[in-house]
Amino acid sequence: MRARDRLRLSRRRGLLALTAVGVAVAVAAVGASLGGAASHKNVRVAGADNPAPAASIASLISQVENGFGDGLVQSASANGTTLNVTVAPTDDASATVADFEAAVLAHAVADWQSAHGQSPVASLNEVTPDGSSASGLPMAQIGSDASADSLTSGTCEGAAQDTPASVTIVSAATLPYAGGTCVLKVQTSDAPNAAMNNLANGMSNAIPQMRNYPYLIEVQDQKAVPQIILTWVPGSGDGKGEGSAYVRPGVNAAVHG
Amino acid sequence: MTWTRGVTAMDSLRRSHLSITSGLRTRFLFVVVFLLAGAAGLGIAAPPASASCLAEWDSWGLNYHGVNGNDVRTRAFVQGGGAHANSCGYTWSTVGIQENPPSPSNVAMLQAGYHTQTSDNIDDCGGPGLPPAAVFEYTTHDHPAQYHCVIYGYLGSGGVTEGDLFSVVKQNSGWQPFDNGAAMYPLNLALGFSSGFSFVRGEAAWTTTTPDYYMTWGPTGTTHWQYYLTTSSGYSDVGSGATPVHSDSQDSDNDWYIGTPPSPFYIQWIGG
Repeated sequence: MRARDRLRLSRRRGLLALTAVGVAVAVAAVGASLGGAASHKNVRVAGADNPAPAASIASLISQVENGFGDGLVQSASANGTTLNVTVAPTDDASATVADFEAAVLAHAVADWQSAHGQSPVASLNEVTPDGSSASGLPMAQIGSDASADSLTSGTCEGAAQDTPASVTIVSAATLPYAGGTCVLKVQTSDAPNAAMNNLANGMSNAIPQMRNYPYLIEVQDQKAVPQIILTWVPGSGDGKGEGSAYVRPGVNAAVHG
Repeated sequence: MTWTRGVTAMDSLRRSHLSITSGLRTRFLFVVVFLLAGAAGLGIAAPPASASCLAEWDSWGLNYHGVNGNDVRTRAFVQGGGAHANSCGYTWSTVGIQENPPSPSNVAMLQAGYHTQTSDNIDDCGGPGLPPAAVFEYTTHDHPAQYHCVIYGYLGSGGVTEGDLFSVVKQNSGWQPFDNGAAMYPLNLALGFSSGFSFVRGEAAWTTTTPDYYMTWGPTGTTHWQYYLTTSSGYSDVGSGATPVHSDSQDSDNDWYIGTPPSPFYIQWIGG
């Protein structure tokens, strides 16, 4: 080996060593940071992150309902190509959440049927307990985008870890439906818009292609009253996706037309 | 109409990376990795790899038609010089019907038209990264503070072009939006009202830099903005009796020039 080559190799080894030291320090710092953040967060990681494979549609529906855990989806049943879902919202905020849950449930059922060689449901009929139409979109196309990689367990929980200490995480979950469904709910005394900004940014950092996955982000005040809710369900609507937004009257937030 | 989207950080990085000769590339990457790793270790925050944000301010200007709320259809061609949010925000350029006369927000309605957003914005149409699109948005009588946005198609594909004719129609079993005569959704929407007030609406949201907005309804050579009453047998032109309304979240100034029908008329952002 010529002297000049040895010098190059030596420089390169030096750079590698310096880089390794830098990376090691960074990894340690990030690890400490995450550990510190987790210690002050009240993260309820839903047990439905990794449920056992459902043996039947009824079992799947039960799993999805339990995964959301708020009782807004009261019942669901597949009738031919239609999925009938009864939701029980009490106000505009809970209607926003209920419609999201019904849409995710519809995708989950369709995916399950496709995976088990059955004809998937093709439409969603969402009603309230008195039989009247719910506010959700009467979906005409169902089935999640199989081209997107499924989210791994814990992805969405990680998206919430950079929130400031003034934000308490009520729940954070990565539900294994429709390719991975993120649910983040927080409480804060901060301006709701700022908290939502922080969460949305955290989610897009954790999931750069977040438009490929269903998500629900809810910011509550310290009395658990929803202030802003944003949802998105890809593939819903007529195939290109459907979103929704709720802003409590009087709250300053620019999130809809 | 011109549409813009923000240049992503990755685009900038790619360009700067490509400007480096291959002989220096390996050494450059080592240095970058080292600097980033060291900065992280020292607690120096690096810019996020990806970002999304909510708009800070929202403002709109519109014309609405009628005094009795008997409209069951409305339609207009929508075209213009541009709709650019400029800084973390979105724009809407729509035609619609709402249950009650326009108020700042939260009235049952259905509107159809164009939506744009900056590359980092997130709103009820999703994001970040939604291309300019034809969309429809609705709220219901029972839940007027719950907004639904449904993507119909992206500008330049699937029949969505500049200057489309958007319409909102009351069918027997609910409401339905159309783009150039094609149903934007195959099912009817149960919105909890059966007739209302036609409107055309320009809207922009931003965070720091104010928007550029100039859009025309019923441009020269096309049909005027029109309405259709419960008792009508056909469409009629909206005349000069339309009512202009604006809403400004940042201050109490009127940030909009709202042209007077009959068309063509334009709605333009004139705020500071």
